[in-house]
Amino acid sequence: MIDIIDVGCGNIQSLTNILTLLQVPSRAVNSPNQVKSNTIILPGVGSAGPYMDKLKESSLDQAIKKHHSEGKRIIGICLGFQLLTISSEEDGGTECLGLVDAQTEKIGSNQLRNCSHTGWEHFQIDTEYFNAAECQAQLGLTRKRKLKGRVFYNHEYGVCSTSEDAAHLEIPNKMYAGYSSMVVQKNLIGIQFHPEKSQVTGLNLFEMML
Amino acid sequence: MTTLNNPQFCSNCLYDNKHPFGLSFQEGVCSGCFTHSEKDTINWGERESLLVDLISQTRKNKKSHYDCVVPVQGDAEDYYVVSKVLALNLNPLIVCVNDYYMNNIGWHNLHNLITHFDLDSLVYNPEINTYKEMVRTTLRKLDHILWPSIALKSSFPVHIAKERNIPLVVWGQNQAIEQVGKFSHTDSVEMSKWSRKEHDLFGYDVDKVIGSGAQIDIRNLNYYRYPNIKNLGHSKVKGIYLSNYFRWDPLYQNKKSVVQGFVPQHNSASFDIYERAGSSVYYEFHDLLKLQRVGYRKVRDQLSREVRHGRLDRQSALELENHYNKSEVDISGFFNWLGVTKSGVEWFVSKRLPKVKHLIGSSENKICQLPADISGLLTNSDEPTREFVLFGKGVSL
Amino acid sequence: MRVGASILLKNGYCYQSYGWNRFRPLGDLQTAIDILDEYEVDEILIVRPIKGVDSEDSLNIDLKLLSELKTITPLSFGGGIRSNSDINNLSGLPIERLCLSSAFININEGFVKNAINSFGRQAILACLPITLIDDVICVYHSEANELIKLSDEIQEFCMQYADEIIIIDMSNEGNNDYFQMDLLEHLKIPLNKIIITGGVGKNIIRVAKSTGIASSIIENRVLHSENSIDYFK
Repeated sequence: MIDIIDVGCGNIQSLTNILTLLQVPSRAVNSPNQVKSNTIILPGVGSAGPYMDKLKESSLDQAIKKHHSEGKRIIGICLGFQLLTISSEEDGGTECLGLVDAQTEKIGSNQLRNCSHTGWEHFQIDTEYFNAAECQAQLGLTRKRKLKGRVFYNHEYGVCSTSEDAAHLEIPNKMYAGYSSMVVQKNLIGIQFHPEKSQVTGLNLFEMML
Repeated sequence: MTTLNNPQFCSNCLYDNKHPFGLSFQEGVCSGCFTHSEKDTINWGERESLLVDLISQTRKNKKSHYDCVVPVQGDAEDYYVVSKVLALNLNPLIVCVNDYYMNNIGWHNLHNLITHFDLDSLVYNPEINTYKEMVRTTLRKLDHILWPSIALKSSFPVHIAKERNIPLVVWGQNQAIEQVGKFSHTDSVEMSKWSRKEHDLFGYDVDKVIGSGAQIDIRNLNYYRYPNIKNLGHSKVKGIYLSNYFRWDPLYQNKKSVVQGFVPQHNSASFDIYERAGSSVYYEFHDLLKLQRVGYRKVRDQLSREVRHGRLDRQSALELENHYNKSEVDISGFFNWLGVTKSGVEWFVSKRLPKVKHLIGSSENKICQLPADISGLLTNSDEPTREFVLFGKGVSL
Repeated sequence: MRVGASILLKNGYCYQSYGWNRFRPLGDLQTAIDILDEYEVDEILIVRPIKGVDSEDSLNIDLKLLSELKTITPLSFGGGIRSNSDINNLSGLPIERLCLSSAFININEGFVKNAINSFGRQAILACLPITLIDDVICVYHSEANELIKLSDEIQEFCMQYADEIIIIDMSNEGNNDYFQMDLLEHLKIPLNKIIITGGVGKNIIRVAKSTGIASSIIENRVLHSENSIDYFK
């Protein structure tokens, strides 16, 4: 069973749909005492400030930190990934959960006119990436070891990971160089793109992660 | 646009917004009638030229002795399609799926088609126990006894085209255009998995239909499923509808098939002696189930067609529909074929056919007068002498 | 450049539109979405073609259908989203991006900011159906059901608050390869923020790619043949 954090803003339906497709049971949780699974997913559509406020109001922020400290798995997707970092520049500056040694900042440089990243990028991964970070899949959904495909991004803020404890992949587009595509740190996986909307590649990635 | 919950009737034909393919309306006229009016303004010579160009393009991908697959069932329309295919200098492989519902007229018409035009042909006789279980399942779940045969007829020819590297599948009319004007003729829509699921299979695929409970070995279901479309793309197999390239007028076209040896079949549920002649169920139990499912019988499709072709006015069409709707249907033949006991049939009729059971019987409908424009396109027709001829299996089940 | 598909949805049923004037039926939403997933389109835009006053019943029917939708392709949705309660009703739906038209044409800053709070700015699309009348670019205001001049203020507001802007060539909607690229020359919006639709075909896509446009959305034509997206791309 996968617990999906639901604070009323977030793309829960897409996640439950893809997990149903993979025949992985899931449930939406909106209070700390509902968090029981070994794996939780923190989804993300919205804005960091209001989202963190809702996590705090419901004490889910504490539940997530406790879950992490117990060595259980967390998967953060898009905004959910950004909320796992120390802080975000969004909404005038937002203190986040601090579970990943990284900062979330507004995408942009002098060269970039359009300061958001919407589109498909190549993606490539090997299960060794998860194994090396001690974050192996637990459900045995696939024997696939290598994955090559494309994934969908839609974000205005990006994660700059500097942690030496984490393995991270950069977005393979020189316009967004330096921002993380994916970070794996022990029992935590942060994904900037939307695997639940990345078609076959997303499906395969979930099979390899879960 | 109309709201689905509020009934809306076309001021021209007999359709309303409950048509299963969907209808839109503008100034009281439905999309089907609007699109039909294109037939009088399109330059059909240009459309034919486009078809010739398309054919020469597909020939570049030809790796087979055959230029195209033509799916047939021995219907009058098939005679017209084959005539056109040969006139286009195409070398066709005729592909037929035995739906086990054909009567002696149906088998005659199929074999006559193949003989008259002297064509290479394949007839696929699906595994009958699986087929009958599929029929039981779709009757139970969808009120439909033709769904399994439609699934096969819309898929098997495509499998053959792919397996044998034949680049083209040539279909006759595109029903979604001819009935509800879903596309313009000039959109040149082609065969697709989407269209098959949406229009032929009413949104169901075989896995959804089976669900749980059906006693079917899924290994026998290969040809009920459409080929993988990526593989189809790699094979460059394309399916086209001749009704996008030739001005389609079924009653007028189908009459011509008689001189080619086609035998029309009399039926009391419609004036159209050509369309689906040779079926033991089409104007019988299938027609009754159509009434139950969608609220009208096949004759409405045919009458609407004739109104649009200007051979009938709407009021006369309504009166004729009223007449043909009284036609009784003998369902015993079907249930004997399926192997259902008498008590089983009685249960089914009382529980599942309450709204239409008054039409079950075998009384002959009175003959009615048809307008000259329509009767002039009809010829003599026969009555079948043997129904449900299980030709091709040679076993008594 | 992304290449996507659009579907019109009203009262729980899908339609095709021709020239912003005539509708034809299309079919069931899930059946259409399933095949677009299989075609691997880059994105899907579902639009409710509302002209004038919307009906709450109609919106509820469509939202219910969306809530049951299953897709693994990025989905944008819009049409008739005009109040804060409409925004609230969208939470939990399987959509990544929200398409607003009247709110941007009305320069309704409060409403747009509320949408940004709920979805994030990267998820907000402005939709401008435009046409050229006597050399003046006019935009169709769906709430008022009328054409008005597309002012610089509207465009600047869109650029400030929308992540990308959908430009619909109203006159050529549904037609093959007739999108008027020179319409874009009348706009102040940078090309890399623009999504074009309305008569998009293979040649238009080729031209759009070379100009740096963000995305091209194919309307009716995408379901007219198998694997059409491969052909268009």
